Amino acid sequence: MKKGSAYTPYLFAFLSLLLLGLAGWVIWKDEVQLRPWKAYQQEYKELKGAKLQAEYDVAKKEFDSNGNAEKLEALQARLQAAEEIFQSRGVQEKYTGLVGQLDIIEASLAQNQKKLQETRGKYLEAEYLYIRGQKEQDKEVMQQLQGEIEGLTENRNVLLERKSALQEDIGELTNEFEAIRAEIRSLHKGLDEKLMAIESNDRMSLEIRQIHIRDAGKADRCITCHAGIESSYRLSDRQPLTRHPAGFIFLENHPVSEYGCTFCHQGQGRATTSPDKAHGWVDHWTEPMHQGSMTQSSCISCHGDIEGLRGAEFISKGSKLIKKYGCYGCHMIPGYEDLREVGPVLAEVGTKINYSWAVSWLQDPKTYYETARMPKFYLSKEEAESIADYLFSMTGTTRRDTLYADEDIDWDLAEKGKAIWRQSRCNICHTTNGKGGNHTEIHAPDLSKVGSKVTREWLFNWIKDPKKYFPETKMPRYRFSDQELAALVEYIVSEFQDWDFEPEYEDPVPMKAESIEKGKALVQKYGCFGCHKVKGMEEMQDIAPQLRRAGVTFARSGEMEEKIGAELSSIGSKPVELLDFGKVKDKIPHDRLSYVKQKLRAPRSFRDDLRMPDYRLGEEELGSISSVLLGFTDASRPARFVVPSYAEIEEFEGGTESHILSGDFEKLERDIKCLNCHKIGNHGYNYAPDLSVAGSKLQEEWLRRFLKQPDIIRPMLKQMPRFNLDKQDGMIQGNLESSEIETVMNFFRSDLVTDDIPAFLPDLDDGAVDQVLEGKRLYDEKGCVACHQIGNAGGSVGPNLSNVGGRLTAGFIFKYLEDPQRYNPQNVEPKYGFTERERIYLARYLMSLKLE
Amino acid sequence: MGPFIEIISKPDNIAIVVMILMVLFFTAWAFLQAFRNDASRKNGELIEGEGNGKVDTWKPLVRIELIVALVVFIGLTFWSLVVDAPLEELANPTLTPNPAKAPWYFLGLQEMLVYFDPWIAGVVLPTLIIIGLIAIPYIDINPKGNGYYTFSERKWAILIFCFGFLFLWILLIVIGVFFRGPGWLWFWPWEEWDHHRVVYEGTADLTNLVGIDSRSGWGFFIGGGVVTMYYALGMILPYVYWRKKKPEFFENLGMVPYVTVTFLFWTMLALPIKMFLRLVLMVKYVWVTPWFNI
Repeated sequence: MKKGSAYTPYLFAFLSLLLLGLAGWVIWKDEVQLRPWKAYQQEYKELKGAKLQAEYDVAKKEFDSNGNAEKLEALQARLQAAEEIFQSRGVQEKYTGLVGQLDIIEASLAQNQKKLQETRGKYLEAEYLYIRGQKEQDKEVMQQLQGEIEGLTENRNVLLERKSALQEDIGELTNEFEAIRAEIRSLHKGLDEKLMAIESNDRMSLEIRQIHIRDAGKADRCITCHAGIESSYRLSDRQPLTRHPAGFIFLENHPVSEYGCTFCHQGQGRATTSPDKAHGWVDHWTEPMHQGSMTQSSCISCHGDIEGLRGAEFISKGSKLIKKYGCYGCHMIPGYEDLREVGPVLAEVGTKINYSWAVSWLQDPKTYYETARMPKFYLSKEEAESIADYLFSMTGTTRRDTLYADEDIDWDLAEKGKAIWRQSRCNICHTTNGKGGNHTEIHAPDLSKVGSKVTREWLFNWIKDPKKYFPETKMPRYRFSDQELAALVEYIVSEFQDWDFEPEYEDPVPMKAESIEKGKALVQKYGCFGCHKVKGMEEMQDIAPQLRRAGVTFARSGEMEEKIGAELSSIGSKPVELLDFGKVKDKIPHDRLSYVKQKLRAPRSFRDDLRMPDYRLGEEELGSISSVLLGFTDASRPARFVVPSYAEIEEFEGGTESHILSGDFEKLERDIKCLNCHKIGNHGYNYAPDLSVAGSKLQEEWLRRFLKQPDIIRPMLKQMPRFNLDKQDGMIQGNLESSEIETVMNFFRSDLVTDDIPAFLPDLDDGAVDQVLEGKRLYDEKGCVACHQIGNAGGSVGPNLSNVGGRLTAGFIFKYLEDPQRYNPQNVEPKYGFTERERIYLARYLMSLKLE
Repeated sequence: MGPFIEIISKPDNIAIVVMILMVLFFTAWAFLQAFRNDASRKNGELIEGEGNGKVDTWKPLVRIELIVALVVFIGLTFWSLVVDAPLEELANPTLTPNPAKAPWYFLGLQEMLVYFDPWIAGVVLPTLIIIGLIAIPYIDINPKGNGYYTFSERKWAILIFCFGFLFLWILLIVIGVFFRGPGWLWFWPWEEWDHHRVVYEGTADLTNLVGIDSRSGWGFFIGGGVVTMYYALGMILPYVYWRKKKPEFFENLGMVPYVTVTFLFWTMLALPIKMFLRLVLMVKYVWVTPWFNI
């Protein structure tokens, strides 16, 4: 080691310097690199300071330009004069004398107060002793002390009186300039407040800020960087200093101080060392921050109803799609448990459709019509035939097609049927060759090619009584006579034909038993019973896969059963490690959202033996469905956050005020399906007017007349259909039976009323004014004509008001004008803020508009 | 090689790679010194540390130690500044990680579980390792090689230790870290760690190979006989051999240390033998008893 000792000091020095350098690095990293929020906060502080300064400058300028400077000068001159008087010798002497007296009185007051306290203490002790020992001597002490207390109290009152008299005397001397000072202060007040704001902003220290929501288990430090998220100022458009977008929806209802940030946005709220870490975009963080509309999936944690929720449009769409495609048929999805199957009953499908049609439909429903909801199962033709064999075997033994050639058709009858088709407004729900289907929330099949699909006999029986074939159908029963029905069926069969349809089995061919067996196995494998009622499989559910793996092949209780697809009730919390990316492992990012989206985009792309069919969703559709699914998490939520759904509220309230249909009206509704278009409470759809308060809203005579013969008050496809065309004078006459009209009227009168709407307008005590004319003046002044028509003049955004006086009740108009969104939050009419008087005038005017 | 690079470049594995390289380097360094010294002595030169050529603790040794301490301190500080703690997913009681690996320094022990039952691999063998290390001063009667590097003077001691340390401890750690994947299955460096991989290994106990149930009385006696014979022959044969060749060796060592040394030595060798039996002949256990299996 002799050689070594020569360079050892240099090596030592080098290593020491290296260590020093590392120490410097440690300090820099800790102070700067790991505290990126310091720079953000500093920037925000500067921006805010500049903004406040600018505001102050503007206010100062305004202050000066408004002649305030002269005012201030005058006040100061007055103040000086008043102070001079005060400083003059005589006044000063008097003042000093008074203040001296006041000091003496203050001192004796203090002394008195101390004595009083002591005496009270002694009295309480004596009282305690007397209560305990019941000795006379204690009582005597008590009485003596009581006397002393009274004396002291009296003395105090005297002193207080003298004190206030003295203060008054002093006030007489100082009042004048104190008042001037107050005036100067109030003149300055606005500016002073602004200056104080600037100062407090300057004083603000750079530090980590945290919101702790104890019951949600959240400690969010997001506002450390997002300093201006709640600000009323728009200081920067660059992250992280922006304001929360649409704060009037989100922050107003969910103040940051009560909800924190990560409860809705996810991410790693405690992390402050880098944006990626804080947003949870790091390996193994189970809740990375949602981006864009995906944030809405958090609404599901607390809100029972997301459809129609303001600010939740994206998931609302997803929720509607889940209902449209019936995802809940195969998957357990919370909140979608009790919905009916989306597909039609298949029990007697063999009597309904053509065999060749069934085979091509099973292979790819979209070849029949583009908007078909049924997904593609990627079945081979042979598999499709097996399934069709199985379904047809329930009602027959042969594969058969029935076609109607031109010569089979009674064209005169078909022509009659065309008129019925139109009057019945079939196109409201059904599309034909791209027409109709305006009511998008009801999913009725496209009928463009229905003539090649179904048999005449089935169609006849179906329209005659749809519930007989499919008890839960949404199709209303029209009260056609058999002749009318025959005409309608003839028209449909002749008009809506698929000219490319190639029937293979116009001559029936017997089915093979093994094909039927295979079909049954396929139906069970793919779980057709998730969407359709299949005979013998009504209660069919899959035995839970984990049990089946353990060798269990029978199900004894509901607990052991599962829907055929994976349960989705906590898919939003499922560890990414448990998701099997299979063949797409290297193609898509490894996170929950990418997985769910891929599953919806190409369900079979993960492995070859998967069963989920392809719904052929667009990117936006599958995005919105994913956003709903990822909202189902295991995360706990404080009870105070929960907003129960309408259904839950109805359950709690036991049906009161809940508009659950009952009695004869319910029977009638089941028949003609009023709620396919109208809404009552939370039931039904928004296609036609909401009827929840219709009993209070509509005049009885008008309603009765309307039910007898629906007017043309809406565009063609919004008109209410006639359900009963067969009356003596032609087809257009008549509608519901008169007894049924009474049923409807009774229900409206008893159930669809609200105390909210007064029966009569309040009386106004101004007989001199013509209220109707006054109302007309208001109508013109406020520009109602821009949207409403009276006669032929006016816009067409709102309803025509020509006959509004014959239709609506005055009380409804009166309440409606106060808040047009009261009965229908989607209403577009703005809130004008009319006074009660104005509303009465307008109601009187509108009630005068009647058509005979 | 992709998967292999991924494994060795994981932040927690880089340190292990560095450690392995250091073990190899220092082993090579020590052997180089030893061979150099042996050569010098052959030429009759005096070597450092032998006889009177001793050096002081202060300053030569302390100075080196101080510098080494600085280097280690700088290395660790640098490492901690550059690499964050390699955190994994949240612990989940319903989801055990696969592969579930012990800390790296125990992976040799974990690897032993493939070849022995937990009682032997987890308790008996580690205890024997510690006892063996404690016993070294009592059974090592060779006074040479103290304070200087040499190989020729302590051939057996060095070879046996290197075998036990480098092959049975370090190599098993390397296997455990880099070659054992999900399901504790063997993955070559170029193979992807497939979590769904299934390998069927039909193993059988030794006596079952010749048609005798290892759990029967016969099986018990045969298995026990094999194990007993292993140790008995392992002790008697060297005794007979050395008694003839080097009687003075026994005089110096004594009977009890001899039995201890041979027992520990053959126990150590039992591991590679069992590995061979398990991997090549698919033998699960040699001896099955109600209390432990070997």
